[in-house]
Amino acid sequence: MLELRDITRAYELGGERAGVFGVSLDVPAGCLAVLAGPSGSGKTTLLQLAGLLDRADAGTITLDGQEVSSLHERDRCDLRLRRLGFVFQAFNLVPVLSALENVMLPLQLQGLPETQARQRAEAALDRVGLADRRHHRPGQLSGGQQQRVAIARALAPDPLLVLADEPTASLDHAHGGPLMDLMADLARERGTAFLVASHDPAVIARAHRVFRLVDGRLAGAP
Amino acid sequence: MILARLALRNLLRQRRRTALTLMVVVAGFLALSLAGGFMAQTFQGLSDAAIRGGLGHLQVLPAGNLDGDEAQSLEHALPDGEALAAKLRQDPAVAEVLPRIQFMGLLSSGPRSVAFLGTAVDPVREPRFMACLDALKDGAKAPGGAGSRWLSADPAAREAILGTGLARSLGASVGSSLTLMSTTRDGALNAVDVEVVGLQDLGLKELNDRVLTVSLATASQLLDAGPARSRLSIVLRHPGDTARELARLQGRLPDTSVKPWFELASFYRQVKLLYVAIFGFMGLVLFLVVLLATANTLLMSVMERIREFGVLRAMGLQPGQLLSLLQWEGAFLGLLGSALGLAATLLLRAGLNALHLQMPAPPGTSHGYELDIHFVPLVYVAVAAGLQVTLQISALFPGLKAARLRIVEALRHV
Repeated sequence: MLELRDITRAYELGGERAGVFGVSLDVPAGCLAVLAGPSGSGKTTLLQLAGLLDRADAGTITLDGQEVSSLHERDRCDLRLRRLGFVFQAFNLVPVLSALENVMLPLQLQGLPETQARQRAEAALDRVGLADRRHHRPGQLSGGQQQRVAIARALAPDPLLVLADEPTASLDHAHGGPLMDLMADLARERGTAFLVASHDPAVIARAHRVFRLVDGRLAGAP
Repeated sequence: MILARLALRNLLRQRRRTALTLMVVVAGFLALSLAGGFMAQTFQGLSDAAIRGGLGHLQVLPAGNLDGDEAQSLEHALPDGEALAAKLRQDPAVAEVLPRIQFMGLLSSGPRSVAFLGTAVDPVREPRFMACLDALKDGAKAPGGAGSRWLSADPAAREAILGTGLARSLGASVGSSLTLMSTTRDGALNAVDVEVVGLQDLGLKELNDRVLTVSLATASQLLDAGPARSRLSIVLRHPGDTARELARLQGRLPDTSVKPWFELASFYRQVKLLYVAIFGFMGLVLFLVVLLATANTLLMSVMERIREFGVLRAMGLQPGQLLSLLQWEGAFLGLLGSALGLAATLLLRAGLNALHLQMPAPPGTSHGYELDIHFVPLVYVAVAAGLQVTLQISALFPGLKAARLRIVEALRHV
């Protein structure tokens, strides 16, 4: 599914060289993989490279057999829209849209007719247990509920890979664990690959694979 | 459509800021459309004054452009102007033809003589279409003007109507006897005694100081004019057809020069040019104000949503779609602002017109007029279009800024 080979992305941070260096890893379909490591170890940088949000200085990224690291920006956008999903630490829902409209957004951007997008979004919200909250705006939802909406938004377009950056960091323990259980279930049910950056033990405990990063280098193997 | 919906929701999210921006757009619309309505009133008034002041819609002149003294001489007149006028009256597009003789000479009250510019008109036909009776009404209010009346239809009557300034300079009033002196077509000096039957106020001091009006019969005797006429003023049945009739009548009358009223009304053209320049400058300033105000609002909106834009880009939104999103926001601001501006304009226009405000006399004229801001849909459409373009331009810079954001930096933005 996702293959990273010798990925390097270096930048200056506080006068020191930071980033990721020569990282290679595989995330197969249906796998919940976790990038673990302390703050500043390069988890988010690697996640952004895998999510085609940034370009690596060196190395290749292959998604479902297609080499994607050298694609033109327009094609990278299209790939993100159709094949990738994102879940962020701060939920990052569009505040002016309801839960349902947030989930419909990537589908409508794909050009799906409104009724079809609505059906798929309602199914996704139903799957994350928020069918009764679909008309609520993000400000009217709890942190856990917002993150579930974000997962529904990421999954609604039926992506190959979902990238989640510290998805439980803004949630308390009572909400973080069930959220990760949900991700693990979805990975198993749908065959979607998840790559999660986190240093939360509750997340790492539910991972099918754990990649440990130390100072931008991979310290462990799956 | 999703981008349009998102844009609308974003505007509603910051209601106070959106309302302030809309107020700027509304103020711009209001100022420009009211000014446009006022200009339309002015142009209408000036064109009416020019047409009904004697020019008619079209003028038939002797071939060749004659200016100054030559235009006041019958040497270059239409040799059989009366017959030509009679022929043109048969034309179905023509409502009336008013022959005129332009002449100049000296007006004497005995001890004092003053140069004048005279116009001889048909005393029966002229008042039906021209504003001569209005000028007479105004002249009756001037010193010595009491009892003013129009020229008699009797061809034997030798009467004159003087400009108020001309009468004042001679110490003449209604009922005074004066002597008109001029040269005949052959160059001989001639004189005719006339009775002052009225004073006229033409609204321009320079005209009032020099002009007088007599009947064609009086002028014919003074100038030995015979059937010759200086020019013919044509009143059309449909004034909107002036340009078309100009071409057609010129074709019918190849030995003459047919001119439209606006070519001959130099005062109208000068005032129009001045107003258009003032309106253009004012419009430029207002458009700049709107441009800066809305660009500032949209830029602030972009700066507040950098993280949101980062998320949208991460989800796969193309840079061009972010640009479109901001263009939609500009479009909604423009449409809503123009709609509110139009409503405000119509309300304020109705209110101002209902007050019957008296405007001061414009420069060079002797009396004021009532404010009547015209309803001019074309101006509203032009102002709305101009504002819309301004809004789209103002959304361009914030849109480009949003489109150029690096996703990873935008996602880190706090």
